[in-house]
Order: sequence, then structure tokens, then C-alpha cells
Amino acid sequence: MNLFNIPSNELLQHLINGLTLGAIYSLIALGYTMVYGILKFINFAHGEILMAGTYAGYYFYYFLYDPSKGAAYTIGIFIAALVIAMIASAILGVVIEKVAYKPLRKAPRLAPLLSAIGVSIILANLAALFFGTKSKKFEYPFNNSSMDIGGSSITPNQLMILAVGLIMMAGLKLFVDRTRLGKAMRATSQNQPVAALMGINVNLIISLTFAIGSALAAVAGVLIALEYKVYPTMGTMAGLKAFIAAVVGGIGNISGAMLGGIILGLLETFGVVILGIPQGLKDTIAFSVLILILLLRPSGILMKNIREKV
Amino acid sequence: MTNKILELKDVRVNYGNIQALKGVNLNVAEGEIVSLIGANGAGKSTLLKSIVGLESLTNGNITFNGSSIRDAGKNRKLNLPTDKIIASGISLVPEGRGVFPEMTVLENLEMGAYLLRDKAEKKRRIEEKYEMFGILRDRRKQLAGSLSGGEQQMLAIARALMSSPKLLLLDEPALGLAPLIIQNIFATISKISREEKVTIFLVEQNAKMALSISDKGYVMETGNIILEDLSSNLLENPKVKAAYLGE
Repeated sequence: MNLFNIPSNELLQHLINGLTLGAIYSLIALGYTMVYGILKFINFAHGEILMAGTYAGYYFYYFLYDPSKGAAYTIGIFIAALVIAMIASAILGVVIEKVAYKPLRKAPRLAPLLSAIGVSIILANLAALFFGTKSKKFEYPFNNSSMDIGGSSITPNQLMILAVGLIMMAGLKLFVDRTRLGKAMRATSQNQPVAALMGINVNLIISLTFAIGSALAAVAGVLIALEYKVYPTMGTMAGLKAFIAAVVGGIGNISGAMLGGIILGLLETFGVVILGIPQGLKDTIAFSVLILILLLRPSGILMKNIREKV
Repeated sequence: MTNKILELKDVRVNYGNIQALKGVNLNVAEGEIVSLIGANGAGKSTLLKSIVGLESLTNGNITFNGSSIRDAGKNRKLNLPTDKIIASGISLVPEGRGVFPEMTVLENLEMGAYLLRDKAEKKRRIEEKYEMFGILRDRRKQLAGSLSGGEQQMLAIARALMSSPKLLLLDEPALGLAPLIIQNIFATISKISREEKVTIFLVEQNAKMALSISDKGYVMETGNIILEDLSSNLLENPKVKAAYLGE
């Protein structure tokens, strides 16, 4: 195959790079879209919730880190750190909702949005205050030297990101489609007062939504931290990109967020390769996509408009 | 004397400065069909919402089966949240049906029995609803949003019955439906009352239909109950005839 004069081994390389980036966007985008689905509001503190969980995972990991105990131990504490990050973000997400958003549920829609921006500024600054502004390196728990697959070099971390992303997304989809609570979540997003009429505790479902969305963001945060670094504003750009991914897929739509993330990851990667956009201007791709989507298909690519029957 | 299953005492609800309900007294006896008729904006839907806790009371109290479910006072034990009221045995078929449009017919029915943990019993109840409404069985895998208005109303009623309520509240079940379908819906409501031993409180603009199937009726005007009588008497009442029956 010879698409745009890119040799096939390089094409595979870019594809894997794009998919890995996309999987991370998808994981973060799910939180935006789930919260939007239920509360019709964008949680602009989502990126900072990701950052906070990542710090929790980071400190847990280095509290127990001991290279002399061998590879299995390191991987073990890494998995534990991932779980700690998820729990920390989940709790933080739920608390933020109770403190900063719930009292504003009946307020004009701009109020919770501003509250969210305020929370995000507070969290980033608290992190700078307590953890310092210097970025921290989260070492790979395994040997990350790249492997040669089909002529392209792929790192174990990339494979892990793809695997973890896939498992999390498949798990979420199963939860939402098949379980009693997952169905209650969908019902609540489709019609909140009627969901309450089914006996659903709507506040509990809202908390659950924040918990799951935040936990998924923490997973993305730890995966990003392995590839890059941990720092107080690490969630800002990742959060913005993921928000764009959620809009691309159709905000409020779970499959849309997954697809939007993958599309955005691929566009960013291939935009650099095919259009020759310099690496430094890579971020313009995502924002151009946002503008185009808002102009051409503001409801997103997967959103179908079901009209209410009278 | 029959047992009062639902009792509203001096219920007032305000929206800002507007009084939507101005002190409503009303009761529904066990096993009866009671209808509340009135024009658009009279406060009928507000009344139903206040019973299930979707509106707060400014004054008064609502009891169900003898215990308080909504209260204007500060005591939280007398003022239950919606999910607890549903759990105590009330179901509401909301105005405009309120089916979950992007869930299948089957999933909508399952949501109706959300509080029921017994899977076998849930299955049995679904089967029972399929027997009652054959069309729902045929469409069980379709998205509820793709059903016709009449079918959605059937689904909304079936879903409300999934929790095996003692009291079924219906908010304008005839709204926006063709006359033939309205007849069908009302025949179904009357059948449910006979066969399922469910007490029914029905709010409706279609006064003739509502009064023809109910035992007792209330007439509401701008937040007040202005008449209360046996439905058969209301159907003959000259005032009701002139204002609501178009005769």
C-alpha cells in the first residue's frame, strides 16, 4: 500500500501512534459526555480531576517503589497505583459535584459552568502549592524499549494504552447497556423527572456518573504520565482536546465520545504526516476540527435527532 | 366507610409569585377511579407532580395509605423524595407519556420495575404486560421513540404498572391522540381498575371520557377545586355541561 507516498511500515507506525493518542482522548472524553448527558453541562474541571488522580497514583507508586524487589512487584504496585488514581479521582469528582454544582442545579446554565472553571483554577493552583510546579517523571513499570512489529517500532506502553483503553471502554459499554444501574443512567440522561418516577434515586445516579467519568480520566492521566510527565496543568490541554473529541462524536453520546477520541487522535497524527503541519502547530488541528464540526454538524457525527412524538 | 388511600389537605404550590394551587382538599378511596377535570393551566399537572414530589408544597400535607408523603413543614420524615414515594406504591404516567425514547420497549418496561430485585418476578410482570398489550410484545426490541403516540401511551401505562402500584396516577392520557385511540386507552384504564385492583386518579381535559369511566370527579379552575361529586352527577350538572362537555 502506498497512501500519500507513505511507506506501509510507516503508515502502520502512524496508525498505532494515532490510535494510542485517540484511546487516551476517548477515555477522557467519556467523562465530559456522560456528565453532559445527565446534567447538560460541561464539567470544565474534568482535566484537573484527571491531574489530581494522577498525582495520587504517582505518590502511591513512589511510596512503595523499590526496584530491588523485582519486576513483578513493580508491575503490581503500578496496577495498585492505577486503582488508587481511579478511586482518588472518583471521590474528588463526586465531592466537586456535591459542593460546586449541585447547589446550582436550578440556577441559569452559565452559573455551574463558571463554577466548574473556578474549581479547575483552584485545583491546578492547589496542586502547584502542594506538589510544586516542577514536573515529575512517572517511570515505566516495565522495560519500554520499542519492539519491531511489521517494520514499525511500537513500545510496550503503546500496547498497554491500547489494551487498557479497549478494556475500559468495552467495560463501560457493557455496564451502560446491560446492567440495572447502567440502564438507570441512560434513563436519567433521557428524562430526569421520569427517571425519578421509576424509583431511581437521581442524585445517586449523578454521583455515579461523576465517579465513573472521573475514574476513567484518572486512567488516562496515569497513561499520559508514563509517556510524558506529571504536573499541575497536565489536565488542561488533554481536557480541552478530549472535550473536542466529545463534541466531534456528539456530546452526550457515549459511543460518540469513544469514536470522537479515536478520530481526533488519528487526525492529529496524520495531519502532521500528510499535511506537513509542523509538530509545534499540532494543536491547531484539534481546534480547527472543533470549529469545523460546530459549523457543519454541531450535534456531532453520531448524534441522531429523535423527535418527540405528539 | 371506605379507606382513603390518598388525601390532600389544603395543598398550596407557588411558582414564584404565582399560586398554582390555592389550597386543594381532595381524597381518593381505595379501589375507586377518581377523575380531576379542568382546563389547560388550571393546575392539574402541578397537583400530580406535588403528590409524587416533583413539586414542593408551600402549604398543606399529602398522605398516602394514612402516612404523610409530602408536607410543607420542615420535618423530613413527612416529606419523602420521589424515589421513596414510588417505592411506597404510587406510579405516575406523566403528561406527554415520557417514554425513554432511546431505550427499547423492553428496557422501558424494565425501568418501570427498577426497584424490584427479583429477576423472575420482573420477567413474570413483563410477560403479564405483553399479555395485556399485545402490541408491546411485537415491538419489544424497537426503540420507544419510534412508536406511535397511542403505542407510547400504552407503553407508559404498562411501565407504570410494572411496579405493581396500589395507586396509579395518570396525567392527561388522551392528550394529542386520535378519538379511536382515546377510547381504547380509556377502556384499558377501566379494565386495569377492574382486573388489577389498582386505585386510579386521573387528570384529564377530556371531561366526557374521564367522567364516563370514573366513580367520582373533581372540577378544578385556576388552582381551586370548585366542584366535587359522583361522576354520574357531574355528567348531568348544567355548569359542567356548559363549561366542559360542550353541550
